[in-house]
Amino acid sequence: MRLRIKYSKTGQMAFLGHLEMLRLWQRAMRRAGLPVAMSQGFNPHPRLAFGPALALGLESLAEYLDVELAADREPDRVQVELQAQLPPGLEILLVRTIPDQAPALTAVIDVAAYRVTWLKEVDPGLLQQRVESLLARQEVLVRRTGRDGRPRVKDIRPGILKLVLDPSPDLVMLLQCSQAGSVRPEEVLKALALETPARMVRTGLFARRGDDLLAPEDISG
Amino acid sequence: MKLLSQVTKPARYLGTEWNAVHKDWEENPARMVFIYPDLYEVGMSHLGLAILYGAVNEQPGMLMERAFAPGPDMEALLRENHIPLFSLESHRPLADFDVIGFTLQYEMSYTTILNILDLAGIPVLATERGAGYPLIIGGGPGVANPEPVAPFFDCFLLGDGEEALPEFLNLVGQLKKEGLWDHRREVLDRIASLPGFYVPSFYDVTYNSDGTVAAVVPNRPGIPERVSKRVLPDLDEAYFPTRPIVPFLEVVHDRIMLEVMRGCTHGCRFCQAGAIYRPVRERDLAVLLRQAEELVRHTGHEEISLTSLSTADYSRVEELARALVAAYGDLGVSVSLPSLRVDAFSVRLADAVQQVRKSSLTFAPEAGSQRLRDVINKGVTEDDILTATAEAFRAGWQAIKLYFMLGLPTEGEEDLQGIAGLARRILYQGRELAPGKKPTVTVSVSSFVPKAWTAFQWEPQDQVAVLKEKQQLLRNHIKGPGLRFNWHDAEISYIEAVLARGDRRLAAAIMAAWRRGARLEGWSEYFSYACWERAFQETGLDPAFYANRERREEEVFPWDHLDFGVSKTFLLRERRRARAGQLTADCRSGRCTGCGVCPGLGVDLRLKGGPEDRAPADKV
Repeated sequence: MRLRIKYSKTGQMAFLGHLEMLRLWQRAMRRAGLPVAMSQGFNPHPRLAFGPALALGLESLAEYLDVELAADREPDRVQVELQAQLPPGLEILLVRTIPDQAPALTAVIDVAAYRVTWLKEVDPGLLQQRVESLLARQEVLVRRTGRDGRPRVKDIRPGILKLVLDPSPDLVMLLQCSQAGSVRPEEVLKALALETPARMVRTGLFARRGDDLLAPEDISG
Repeated sequence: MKLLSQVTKPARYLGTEWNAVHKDWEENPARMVFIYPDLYEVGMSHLGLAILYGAVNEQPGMLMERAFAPGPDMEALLRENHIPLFSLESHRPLADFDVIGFTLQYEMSYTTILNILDLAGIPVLATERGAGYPLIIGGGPGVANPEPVAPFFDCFLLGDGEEALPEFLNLVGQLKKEGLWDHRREVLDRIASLPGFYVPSFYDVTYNSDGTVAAVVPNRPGIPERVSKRVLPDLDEAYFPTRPIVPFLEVVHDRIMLEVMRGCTHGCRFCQAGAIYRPVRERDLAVLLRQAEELVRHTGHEEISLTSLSTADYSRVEELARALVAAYGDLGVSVSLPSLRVDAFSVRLADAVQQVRKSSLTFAPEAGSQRLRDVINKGVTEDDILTATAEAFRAGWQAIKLYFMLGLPTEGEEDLQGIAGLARRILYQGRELAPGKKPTVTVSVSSFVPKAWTAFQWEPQDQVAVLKEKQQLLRNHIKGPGLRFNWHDAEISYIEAVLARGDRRLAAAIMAAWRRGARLEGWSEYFSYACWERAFQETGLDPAFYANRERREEEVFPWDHLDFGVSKTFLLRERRRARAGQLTADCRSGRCTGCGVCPGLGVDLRLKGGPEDRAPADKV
């Protein structure tokens, strides 16, 4: 059976990278006695799959993880037993059964929501103005380092889906986050030319279906 | 927290890993921080830390937290912001603890120890630390000869720490309660009366005109002339942690370490660990299986490593390995054997536990010719080696790694040619037997470092130039398809040799090297030979005196006032047998070699093989 787990990653846990999270969950599941299915082949490994990676240092209120079990387990019981094996800062928000054939998290998720709160006071008027002028631009070019280590320039404007102050002066961003390409929240802040220190939290991951945003736990096909 | 977002691998500094213990500071008046003087990833792989952390924290009235050397980026931030180095669990400055304990695993960590004290705002010299500063204690294999670092420490613990350290912290709690803690002399007096504890300031060293040690004698009444190591007679009764900390970060040994035995009976003449951890004490199979079950349940690790100096020697290793594979294989938990003998049995054993992923198998013949292997008492023939590697190729391994030491006593060119010849013979063998017929043989050479408490403690180390010539010669002979050659930095081995048999005067050079920037020297990217050259010039100390000089048989050694059980007469006899190319049998065979450990320390060899268990000490 396949389970989809939604969890939050806050506080110190923000400093754990993707590989560390993978190890942590595998070990927590083993401690919890969860019968995780193993991959076949030369070097078997537990069948876990995560949603899109979160940048080191960011907190998140909506991370996802799929796990395949070799034997059936009651999702509510899994939630309780697994939670008992997790360090503070990782909280399981829900565990839900999904069909075995359901597409992978990384295949369906294409939008990430972030909330930015400012650590110093900002002028809401100025902020509004900056947001509007950014959204009015045809292109927003950022520098990135390619996989080959060479610098390249990318237009992130098409990936900026929404920028609103809600409630002002909190900034809510909806950014493209898919295998085809992702916009990093810190790139948007830089493009807004705001030097003010901020705390950023990922608040949601979604699949776009027309004008609607679906949560991964509600997707079954 | 603010600093964490500015460093690489912030998970090194969190302290909230699974099974980390956060004890109440007020309820536990005897507080110690244990420091492994290297980066987190290295330190968290150390079994001794896991054992002592558990042993202390399970006792009431005392607590132990951890600290490691910060990465260079964190060190820069700490210095910039004037933040003293802190413990991981409570993030308190190290200076807040009563005791700071360092494990001395490796000579090249000494400059890091000074750097850590400095980062904590604590004077590095014991004489400059008045009341109010923590007591600095050292333990681990480096205590075989702690003299070069003696001026930085208040005391050392010799031997096993499971019982001794809680005893010591009990005393700390008592002294604090009695209001005596600030009277450093009295504190040290009381510590020196605990068995196994060595207070270096209570001993005076005098020197001969040729620079050798004349004598090391107690400078106050009631202090023993020799301090004996602590030894746990029966490991089944000893504390062993079954809830060790599970790191967030991938560490060097990221797995369950199940200690199957302590000590090694092989008697290789260069090996310090084999000498100072005597006698061999095995754990009972039932005890190990119970510990393994708890360890899997409490850690969730995916691998169990059967740990010891020579695991294939454990009397019931096959039964143990098979039982663990059967019990945990389905959970995705594998079994590994980190130290193998060079024989076919070991290969079959490795094959039995490692059903998948046969990456490479490592053997340590140590020397390239039979003559030299007999000199070091390796007890392995070329036939053994070739049978073992053939077995490995047939079982599916493609890559063989071989470890050798350069500069062993009596080594000549034939011995070096022997290394290349052996590598070739194994490669040819692999081309006939390996499944894909594309075998690789990797030869890694380190340089021989003569160590205290070994039969070779009198021997000179080859000069750096000679070691480099030998490396070059091998590099020329070990090349071509399928052959790889790796070597260790000869200069690092040289400094290691200086410190391994040094005396207290070397503390000045360690300080000078650290002041010039030496730290994290176990990492070759941070090691700078120039720092040390300048340090020796500045202090007027001659490194060759310590590393390259053959010592007289009757010479007094800087560590002669310490007692690790092995008698000097035995070591001298072993040295002479080495020169004569005579082998000395393994005491597992029932023939006592007369090393002096069992009668001297009142302990015995403990084998757990069933009815044939022997007690060879009776036959002395």
